[in-house]
Parts: sequence; structure tokens; C-alpha cells
Amino acid sequence: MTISDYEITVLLLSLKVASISSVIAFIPSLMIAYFLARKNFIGKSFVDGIIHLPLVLPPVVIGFFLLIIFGKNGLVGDIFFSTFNIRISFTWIAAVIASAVMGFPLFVRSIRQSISEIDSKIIEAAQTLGANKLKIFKKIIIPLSKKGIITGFILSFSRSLGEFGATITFAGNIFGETQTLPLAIYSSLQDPDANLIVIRLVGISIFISLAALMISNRLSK
Amino acid sequence: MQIKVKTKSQIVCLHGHSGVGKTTILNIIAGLKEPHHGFIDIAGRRLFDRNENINIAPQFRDIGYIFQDLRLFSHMNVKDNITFGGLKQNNYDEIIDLMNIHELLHKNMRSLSGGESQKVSIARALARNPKILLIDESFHAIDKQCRDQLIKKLHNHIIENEIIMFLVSHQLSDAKKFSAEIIKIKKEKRTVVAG
Repeated sequence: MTISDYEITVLLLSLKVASISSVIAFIPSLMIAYFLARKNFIGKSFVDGIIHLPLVLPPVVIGFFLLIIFGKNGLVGDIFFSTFNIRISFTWIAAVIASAVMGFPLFVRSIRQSISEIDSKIIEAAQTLGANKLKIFKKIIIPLSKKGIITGFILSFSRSLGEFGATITFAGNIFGETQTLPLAIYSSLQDPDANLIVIRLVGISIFISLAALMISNRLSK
Repeated sequence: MQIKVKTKSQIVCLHGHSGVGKTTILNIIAGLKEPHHGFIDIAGRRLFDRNENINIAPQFRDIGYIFQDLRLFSHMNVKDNITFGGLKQNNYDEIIDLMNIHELLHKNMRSLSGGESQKVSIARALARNPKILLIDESFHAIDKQCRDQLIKKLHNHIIENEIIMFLVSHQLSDAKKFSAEIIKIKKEKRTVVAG
């Protein structure tokens, strides 16, 4: 079985968007997960709620918000366009942002769970050995949260591969630019003669998702 | 709770029944627990003073704490555990000799026996050459013969390096081997009386 140029384009774009969005989401997810797991501050519940909004809101609504913020006339998009002549919406960058936002709560939840499970007594021991907060974070928190970080990365990556609503609203469905696997399947479904393409794209989606989960299981052992 | 300990001895054993607050005293000295009021002066250095708003963070108290539950870093090997706090005065080799743990250095923490883990825990606390050493019931997993040898070596190390040691132990025999001043801790209503 050979993969057509169309399928390769869609597949590579999907992998690019999923990888970049997961990498971008990593540092903010780690920082927020740390604060939510180990710090108490005013408004913690509110911050927690905001972070989890993408899990409960319809993805189209998230896409709409992203358009308001990053659209050509949006709050941030306007600055980028007028200053750098960079348009964000309806580009592959928009697909990355949409994926990162949708995968963010999954990433945060996974890391937060791991950080919460670290025994405070271990942190105390590190303090008595002269370790400052940065050293404790680098040498204790991150290594002991490894499983959560890997699982979060794969969950975010997989979520990105399946992301549809926010992407089509904010990034559109442009072949070679923003048309990821779910969008390509959707487009092919509109064509009665493209059943074989749909089946092949669905097969590719299942294969990639399963591979990601298997890699996650292996790495987090 | 009020605690007043005045001693000129270099090695002090806090002795008393379970739950009387011996470990709490060590935690307060280490800065892991904050007293409601009062102050802590050790070796002429004020570590805590409620009135003066002084509270030196644990990492700056220059302590070595050997916990009852050891609290070793399971994701590191023995060497990384010992060197975690950094080394002072190049005393790494001396500490490894003292604890006789040369063959353990590259082992995973999970592969150590209880006695070996306790030796690593002691080595880790001593590696920074602390001014104050806190030991909380930390010899129970070591067999009697090794334990006597270890206490002898540790005692010499503490005297040579002028370390102030607070030992919590149920067994007064350990305290006597250290030639420690024994301070009996007992609870009277809400007050812990020491001395």
C-alpha cells in the first residue's frame, strides 16, 4: 500500500501541528501545574476553572475566542499584523495555537497529578541539604514528575491530532496550510466519491494515535 | 508549647516517650516547623526569633538532618544522593571512608538494604560538613556490631569537626556511646519541659 501525496501532506501537517503545539504548551503547563499542585493563593479555583474551560466548552467557542484575540483585528492579532505584518488566523500557526489551547488542560492535569504525589518530606529533605527552590524544581520535582510529563505530552499530542472545532473556526480548512487529519476526513466526507480516501485517512489516524499511546506507556514505565 | 534547652555540650540526646515532641524539636531547629513564639540560638547564631522577625530558611541553617524515615531521593543513585547538597572542604572521600560505602556509590537506591540506606542517609547529611547535625532514631536498621563501630566513627568525626549534634533516641545506650548530655523531654499539659 502506498500513501498518496495528498495523504502525506495532511499527515505531515498534522504531525507538525501536534508536535509544535505540545512543545509550546510544555513549559506553561509545567509552571501552572506546579503552582496548582504545591501553592495556595487567592483565586486558585478561578485559575483552575479557566485552565479547564477548553475541556468543557464546545471547541467552536474556543475557536471563536481565539479569533477575537488573534484575528487580524483582534486584541493581539492586530498588534502582530500592524507591527510585524504577520497574520495569525487562518494559518498553520493558528492551527498550532488552537491545538495547544485545547490540549493544555490535559497537559496540566497530568503533570499536576504527578507533582501532587511527590511527598513533601522529600522536598523538606532537599531544603535541609541547602537546595533552593530552583534546584528543588530541577532535581526533584521534574524528575519525579517524569511520568506525568510524558503522559501529558502524549495526551496533548493526541488531542491535537483529533482537534477539529477550534481549528476549523480559527485556522480554517486550507489544504497544505491548516488541513489536518480530522479536517481532511471531514472534507472527504463531503465528496461521495472519496470513501476510500476517508477510510485510508481514518486508518492513518488510528495508527498514529495507537502508536502515540504505546510510546507513552513505554516511556512512562 | 515552650521549650528551653540550655547546654554547653556538643552532643545532646533528647530522650522521652513517643509523641512527646522530640522530632518536633528537631524540625524546629531545622526550620521545617515554626514555633509560635520564642527564639532559637545555636552556637551563637540566632536561627529564629518571633519578636525580631528572624526566621532563617532551612537551606541557610547549615544543618545536616538524618531523618527517621531517611527521605533519600529514590530517583538518584547513591553518589548523587550524597553529593546533592554540594560538598564542603573536599570531605567526600572522608565521608565515604567513614561510612564504608565505596561499593554502593553507583547503586540504585531501591536496591539497598535498610542498613545500607541508613548509612547513605548519614553520609548525605555529613557531606556538607554541617555545623549542626540532627539525628532522629537513625540507627535502628543497622545491626548491633556495625552500629557500635558506626557510632564510634561518627563520634570522632563530630568531635574533630566541632559539629553540634542533637540526637533523638529511645535507646539511652546509643546516647551513652556518644557521651551525650541526656535531656529528658516530658509533656506537662501544653508545655514540653526539657532538662
